[in-house]
Amino acid sequence: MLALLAQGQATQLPVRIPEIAWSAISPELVLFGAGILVLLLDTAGDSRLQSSFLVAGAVVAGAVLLGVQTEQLPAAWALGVGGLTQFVLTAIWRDRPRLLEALLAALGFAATAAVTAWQWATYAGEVVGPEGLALVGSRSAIGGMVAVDGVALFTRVTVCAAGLVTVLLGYAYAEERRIHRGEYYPLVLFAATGMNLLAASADLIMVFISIEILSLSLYILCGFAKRDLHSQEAALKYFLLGAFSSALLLYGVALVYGVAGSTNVTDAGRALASLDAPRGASLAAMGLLLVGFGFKTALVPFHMWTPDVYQGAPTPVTGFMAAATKAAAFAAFLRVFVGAFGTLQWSWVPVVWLVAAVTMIVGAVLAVVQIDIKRMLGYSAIAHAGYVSIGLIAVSRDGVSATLFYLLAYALMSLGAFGVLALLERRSHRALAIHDLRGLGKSHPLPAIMLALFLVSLAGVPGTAGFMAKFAVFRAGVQAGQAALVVIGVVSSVIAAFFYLRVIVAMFMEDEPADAAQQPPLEFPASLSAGLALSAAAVVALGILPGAVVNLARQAATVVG
Amino acid sequence: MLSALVVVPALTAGVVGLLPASRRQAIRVTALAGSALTFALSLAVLASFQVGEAGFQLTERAQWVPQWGITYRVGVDGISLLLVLLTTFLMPLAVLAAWEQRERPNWFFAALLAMEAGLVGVFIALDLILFYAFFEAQLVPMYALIGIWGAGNRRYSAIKFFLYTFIGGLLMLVAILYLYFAAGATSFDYDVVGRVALTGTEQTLLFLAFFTAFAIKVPLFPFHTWLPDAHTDAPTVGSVILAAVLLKIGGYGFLRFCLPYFPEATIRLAPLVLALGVVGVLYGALVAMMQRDIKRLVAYSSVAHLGFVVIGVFALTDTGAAGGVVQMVNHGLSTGALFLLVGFIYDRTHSRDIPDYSGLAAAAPRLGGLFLVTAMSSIALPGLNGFVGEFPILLGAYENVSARWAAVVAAFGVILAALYLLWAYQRMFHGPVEGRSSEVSDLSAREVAIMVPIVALMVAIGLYPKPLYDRVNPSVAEVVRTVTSDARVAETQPPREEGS
Repeated sequence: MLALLAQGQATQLPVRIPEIAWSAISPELVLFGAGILVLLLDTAGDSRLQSSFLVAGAVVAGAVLLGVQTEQLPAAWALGVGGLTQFVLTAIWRDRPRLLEALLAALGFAATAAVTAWQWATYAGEVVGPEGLALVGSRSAIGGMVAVDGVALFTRVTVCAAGLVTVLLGYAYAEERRIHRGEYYPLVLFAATGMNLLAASADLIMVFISIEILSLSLYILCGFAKRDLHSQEAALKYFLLGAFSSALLLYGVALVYGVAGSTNVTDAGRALASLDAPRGASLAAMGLLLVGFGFKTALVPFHMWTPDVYQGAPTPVTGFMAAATKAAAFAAFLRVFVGAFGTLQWSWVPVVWLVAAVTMIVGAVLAVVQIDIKRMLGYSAIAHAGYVSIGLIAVSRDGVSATLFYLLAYALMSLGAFGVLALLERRSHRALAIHDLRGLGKSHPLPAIMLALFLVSLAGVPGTAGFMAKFAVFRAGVQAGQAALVVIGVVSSVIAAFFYLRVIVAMFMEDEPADAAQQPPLEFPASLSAGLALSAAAVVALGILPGAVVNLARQAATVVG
Repeated sequence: MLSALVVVPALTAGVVGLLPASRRQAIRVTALAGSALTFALSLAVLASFQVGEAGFQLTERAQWVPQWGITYRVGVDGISLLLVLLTTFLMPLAVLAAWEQRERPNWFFAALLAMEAGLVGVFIALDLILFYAFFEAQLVPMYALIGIWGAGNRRYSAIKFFLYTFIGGLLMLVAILYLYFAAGATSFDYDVVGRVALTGTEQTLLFLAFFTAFAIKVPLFPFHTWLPDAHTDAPTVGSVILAAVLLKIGGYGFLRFCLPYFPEATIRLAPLVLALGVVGVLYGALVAMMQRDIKRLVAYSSVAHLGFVVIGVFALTDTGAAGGVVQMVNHGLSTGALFLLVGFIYDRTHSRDIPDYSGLAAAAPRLGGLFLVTAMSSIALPGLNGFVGEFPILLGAYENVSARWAAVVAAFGVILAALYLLWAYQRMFHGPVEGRSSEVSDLSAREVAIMVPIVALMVAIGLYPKPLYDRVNPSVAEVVRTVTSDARVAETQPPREEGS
């Protein structure tokens, strides 16, 4: 035994412990911390206040230690204030655990956004791009595991915005459907942690791990309405196909490691592009990675799960998946393919081109024949994934910034649309078909106008965020010489406009069904209304004066490598 | 000052839309005040417009999305000035015509005013993306007007209208993007984008993209199939605005973009366009003749009349193009008035069937008289406004040897117009008072008040069109000169290298 140990010391296994730059993953730490805290307070039951007190004590002690040891006073203060805030809130609302949890989750998202803003302030301007643009730097930290680049930071903002709105939408909805259990908020927070981490992974292993973190949380969230068969079906289907795609992705990672000897995306990209890389294995590796990303971003032909899952999952969860998962998965897609495999364009651009074209057309055409609105929006999400891919295929700085902008705009408008549906489902207690919305414009003008706004934005009519987003990706596409793909996007947009219009027609141009009077009146819970108002305001603001956000997206067009 | 023409109706639309539907009086008075103020402002624009200059005047510029090269730039030249005035002149009258609107009046007037803002925006925008934004944005209120307050198969017509324009617009957007990058990706400004040299194929493809968008709007045969549906099912005011102003975006777009941007392609494809115009003139007239539905008849007459406009524009002579612009105004007045009158009849009997009526002139003499004058204006009787537009078009087409045949054939369209309109007039207004005619009471004071300004303008333009031509001629001559001279220059220059 001793000999063995001595031998071990003698050979000096080269285990290098990287310097861990905690600041690089500070947004994830905040989210994760908030998740653990909410989980703790939920399980603590009657001893909630005591637990909160202990947490506050521990956190404040940690903050003091941090302040004394490393002299990072701002971080220490933030930590301390956070610890105390949660105690104060718990003291006030200790008898209303759901409200408390929702509040803490919302604060968690807000704090994460704030931390991201701090990161932005730190890293923006590291690189000065064309036209004197203060680009966000493109570094990696923690031994090349985590990227600190524009794509990561911008996507974090998108995910946090989506998470915040989701919490607002979910509170009243879950209450109403009697599926309001304490796990909801921690799961949303953990899923968001995974998404943020995915958006920041600079290593294929990190990609895999973060996809697993977000997926596991989402599987449960999908099946959250456990008495609803559709919800169960959605969860199971998502789980099975998700596991399948994860396996394919992992196999791709293994092949990349086999060829490149590294799972770091930058190193892997360099190795795969080198002349002595085995062509077949490289292509197979990239193909498998593409399949893995295709599943998560719902590109045709890897979209099969999307309509069923979107239809069955509780509506706020659907909105969260559509908005945030897509943003995070595309961020990783961008970093791996546009960033690392940028020099291998010749090999993957034609494939993604075809996938994008088929996605846009299939998504739009299949949406036309749907009756269930959530399912229709599911297919529309597929079509939108196709539009986003145009920005990806451009393989340019403008393409990256267009993609980021599109994902933010899409997050807001799709969350808004699902939010209105959540509001309406509260009344009908069942899935909504298009004909259920007949006469809504007359009986309830406000939600009808909001839904119309979000749908018009999804269709890309000027004056809304959807137009500016579409303009951005089309612009990037034409710039990259992909005018043909853009024309396909145009055709798809027109088909898509048809089914969005159909909903608007039902709401404003058809009369209310006869049994509408028997339905209970529509209520407007404060949290849901706030979430909707927030998204609607953002959709209009981005549609009319997008300048500031466009600038951020342009600054954020940096990828590690 | 120009921006106010967009801002005032847009703000009024917002205010009106937020008023509760029960406060009808407040709603319609606000709408009328907003549209009247806009008209007053447009008169101020007219007063400060320098006659005899070709370029854009009263321009305003502001940053919008500088990162993408989008600016807010507006201005008017002679062409857009007339169309802006047409819009602002008709809008208060349209509000008056919809005075008795009972179903959701707040949204109705909001949609009407939002459309005014969009339409004026289309005519004054000097940035291609701004133009596109207005071009698409005014779709939404029109779509709502047809779909919510229309009749018959309104939902189908509304969606059809929307999708037709939407696809044309998006193709144009791709072409705009292409031009932008070809011009060095600095700005979407009208003048900057127009300065790029293009190869022959590029010109043809881009011309076709722009052309499709505008041909759908005009609508040119065979892109016209949305028009009869939309017109028939739209509420009266919707039809008026649709015919009088919305269709003019097409003719305006040809003159503003297709001709000066793609001179070579214009010359190459002009015969084809002329042929479509001629077909439109004859086909529209013949189909109009066959209609039982008076509103559909007027709708098809629009196809014929706008065929003339297209012939005028693509005759590529100063006279023809100027006639085309003036004819757009004339068509706006006469067809708008026809739709109003048809609407008045429909309000009383809820029937648009020509055989339902007989002897209307006796039953409602004021209606009969106004209808006759309006029909004459539409037929282009000398002394009324239709003549001073159509005649220069034919003259202009005749001047250009290669367009001469179009003038000859289209002249028959003038005769056909007389035929279908007078025949309809004869069937409906002459003879003994029979059918539903007895239900038709004569026009009220409000209705006469709506018609009098329009008819007065018809007579005034018919007798003295010089003020119109004075303003249009320099701008149009500039456009025609661009086409005819640039095409020659382009032939002598080597084409732009690929990828530059």
